[in-house]
Amino acid sequence: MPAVFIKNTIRRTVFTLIAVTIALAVIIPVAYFVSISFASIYEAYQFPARIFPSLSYNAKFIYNASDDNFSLHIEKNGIYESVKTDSDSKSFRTYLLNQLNVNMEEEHIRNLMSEAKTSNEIDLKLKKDIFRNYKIFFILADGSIAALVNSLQAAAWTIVISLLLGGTAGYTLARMNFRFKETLNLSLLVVRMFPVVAISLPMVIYIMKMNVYDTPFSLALVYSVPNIALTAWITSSIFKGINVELEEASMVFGAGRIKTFQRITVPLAFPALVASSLYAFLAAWNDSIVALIMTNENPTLALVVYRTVGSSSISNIPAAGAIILLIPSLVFTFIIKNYINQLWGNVQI
Amino acid sequence: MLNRKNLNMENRSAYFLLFPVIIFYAVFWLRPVYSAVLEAFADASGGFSIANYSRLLMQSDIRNAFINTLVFTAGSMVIQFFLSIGIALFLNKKFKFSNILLFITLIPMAFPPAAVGILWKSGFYRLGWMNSLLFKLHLVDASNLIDWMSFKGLNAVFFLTLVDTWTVLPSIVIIILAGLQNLNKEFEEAGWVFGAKRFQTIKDIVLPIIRPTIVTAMILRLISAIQVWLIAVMIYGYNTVPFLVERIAYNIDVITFAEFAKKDAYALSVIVVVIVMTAAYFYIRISNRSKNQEVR
Amino acid sequence: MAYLELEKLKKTYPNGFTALKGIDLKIDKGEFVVLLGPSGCGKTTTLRMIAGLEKVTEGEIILDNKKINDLQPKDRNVSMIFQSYAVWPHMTVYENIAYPLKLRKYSRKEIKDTVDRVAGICEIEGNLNRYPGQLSGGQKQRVAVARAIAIQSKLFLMDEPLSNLDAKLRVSVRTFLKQIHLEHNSTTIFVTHDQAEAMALADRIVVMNKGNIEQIGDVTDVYHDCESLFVANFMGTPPANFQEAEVICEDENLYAIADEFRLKLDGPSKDTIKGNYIGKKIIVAIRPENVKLNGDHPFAKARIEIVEPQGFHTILGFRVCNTIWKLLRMDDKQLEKGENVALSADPLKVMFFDKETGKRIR
Repeated sequence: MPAVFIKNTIRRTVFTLIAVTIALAVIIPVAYFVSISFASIYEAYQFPARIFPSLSYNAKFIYNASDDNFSLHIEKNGIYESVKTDSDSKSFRTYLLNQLNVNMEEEHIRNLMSEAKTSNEIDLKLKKDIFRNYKIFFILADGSIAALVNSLQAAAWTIVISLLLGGTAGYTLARMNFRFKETLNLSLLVVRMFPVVAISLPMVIYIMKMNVYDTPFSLALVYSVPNIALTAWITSSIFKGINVELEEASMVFGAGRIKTFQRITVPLAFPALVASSLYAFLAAWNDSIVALIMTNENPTLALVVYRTVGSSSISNIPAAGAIILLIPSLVFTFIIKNYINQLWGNVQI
Repeated sequence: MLNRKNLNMENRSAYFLLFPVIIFYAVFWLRPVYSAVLEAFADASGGFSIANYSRLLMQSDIRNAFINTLVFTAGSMVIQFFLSIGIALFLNKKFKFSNILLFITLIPMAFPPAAVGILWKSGFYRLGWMNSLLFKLHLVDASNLIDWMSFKGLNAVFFLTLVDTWTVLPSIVIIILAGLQNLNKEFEEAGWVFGAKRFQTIKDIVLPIIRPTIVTAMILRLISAIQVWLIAVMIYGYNTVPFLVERIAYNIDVITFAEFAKKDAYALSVIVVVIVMTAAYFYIRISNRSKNQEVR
Repeated sequence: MAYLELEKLKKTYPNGFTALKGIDLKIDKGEFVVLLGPSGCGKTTTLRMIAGLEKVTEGEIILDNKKINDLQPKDRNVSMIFQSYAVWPHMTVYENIAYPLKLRKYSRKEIKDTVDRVAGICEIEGNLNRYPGQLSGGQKQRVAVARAIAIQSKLFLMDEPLSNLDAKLRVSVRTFLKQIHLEHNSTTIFVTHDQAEAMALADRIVVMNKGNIEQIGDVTDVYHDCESLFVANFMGTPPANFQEAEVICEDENLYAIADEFRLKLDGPSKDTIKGNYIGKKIIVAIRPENVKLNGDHPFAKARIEIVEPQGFHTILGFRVCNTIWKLLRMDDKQLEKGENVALSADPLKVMFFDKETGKRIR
């Protein structure tokens, strides 16, 4: 029946439109962002900004006989505009490197110069050193690698503390009955919702007293406060999902509580424990404000990225740093995605 | 249950296992909270006073921070409520590219706040990508580019709401989607068979049943929204658009050694805690009005 | 013209799996038809296509002279009882029953009267203000039934409504459903995998297997007069006894033989077998209640290996040609394990099946 067919096509078109809109709303900003991270300073000042990073420039190198100097022209929207005029190969090299992200040996420049003298005008394709921004971020920006290591350490400690303390709490909540169980539940809920900002300041004092100020370990202590509670919540619901009879069978056949936990419970709960660790990792990796308060000379990567923004009006280097910050985060978020049903499916506050 | 030890033993082993957790929280939560509260209510000499608060409330920055935080929280929750439910329902229909689309929709969620700040700051520049995009679509021309950064007050708050929505929507969608996927399909089918149109079924049957899931997601958003600061600072810098936690960060990071910086930071922290906990409490109370509907 | 007609109904899923291979079925108004078969046979798929919850790949569904293939479920005016009852947990029992009426724009008074009436029929008046979470499985079932009979629908569809109930409850609700059918004279299609249930309830049974219909008939047809090996095996508890045997001709008599098994062939199918199957193998089927002890023309001698008393009858197990044969016996006479007996059967009660096609030899 034609009416049904028309209705169906309209439905499908609307569907596709909505899907495409959603996809574009995400992809377009991200594309620009990635593109900026690869952009040289020159490109960063161009308007309109590029959505796809370019790999090279179309250029002309022109000899000006009257002044005995050379002009470098870069193609923009079909027109070649002059960007630098000089006679010194060294200053050309510096310009190419800093402004255009093009790494060209001085000797090569001198060759170009002699070639330009003879043919007046040379057409060039200047290849970009694509990852230069990333290199700058790591090498030139102060202590980025150290910050990366700090972030990893803080994350590792957070995972360890959260799993150990939160995991045991979750296990007792799931498997045992004891007085104050409800109180514990409620307290964990309160701590989970608590703004970490409020305790960071006083924490600084304790941390200083403990002599661990400005270390990744101290950050982990603060990150663990809400994370232990979150891990306890996640693990208790996972353990509840594991049939008690599996553990009881193990104990009937001779294993003690601890061995049972090791050999039966943990392997079964493993995927969810992985997911909780990932949440702990992300909490430590992504944070800027606690790091802001609790560190001085040893920042985390997220804090360094935050600080590189400064007041400059272009963001190509910060964007490169942000993308480095982003990658583990992206990987782990996609791993977590598969466990979401397990974690959130039967959720009740 | 085999060989159940008597109750005392059970209690004891539980306490034994929980001992480290309790100690940890006593040291790293109870004590800091206690001292923060003490500091917030102490004047320079150490005696009890609410001078910190009266001083705070006299600053217009702080008053604006309250207003901005309120508007931001309310606005973002409303927008995100409708959008997240809509997108979750959309993604729940198993159509051809729904998996790929879910994948794409999750990307903003993976962005650390610092990265988000840079992404949007680079867009908000006068020559940034937002204007570039509008230019390419011929919605603006070179002479009347929008000056995003010049927005002040509530206009800026509005744009920050949009930026925030872009970032956090996936995390809400994913929770609601999990709730939808755990819903027994037959509830919806019964609706269709007995006469309800598609949209009616969603309104009358699906959404009410997954209400606990929606409430959970919204509470998490509420708590985060009240503590917004990083995107505001990264895009507009300090002071331009004050928020509560932004003021705290300002006191700690920028004017660290100013006379009342620490006190203000403590006092504000306590305020933020009280607001978050109160809001969460009331939200849960209101949403659990009909708790007798056991849904399984 | 029948009330509901399925013509060459076919269902193939996007992944290529064909759940229903093209079936034809005619159902009269007021009939109670049971779709019976094991998991995956296509019975639920058929039901859902009639309800409109699955799209039809090929074929037609005609209800009351109208083709309903392209109608939304809500426009087909059918009632359904789902396997999980699908009683909405966020509405009270009253609201659950009232919802379809509200959608049909009944007035408040009409709704109240109807709900009270059906609640009375289903004996759930006391629960009207309760939520489903506070009810037992059986009570939720009754709410589902009440909701289904509240509207004047053309068809009642029931998707394995009894399988989530415990055994005792199953039987009583079964009777209740039959009563409802008789009082309202509603056209009902009932899906189940339980053959005892099917026989108790149905006017006609549609036995299905792997997307095809094996046989349509009343209880006598599908139990005593099976069309195929599958039907003979599926119906009856304990299941029929099967024996593969070669047909030989000796002195004008036909026998089916295998090891210690030797059955003299008689009855209406004798000529067909004589004409087509001499020297070939066929499958002999005899139901446990039709196996007799120590009668005329025994087909096997065996020792009693298992005795299963069931209260008012006893099931005896024998080893015949390396298979356990079961015999159902109403006798009071006590039989001991180890006793040697001779097995015989009434030739008219024996069924023969073609070994290759599985079809009945008539």
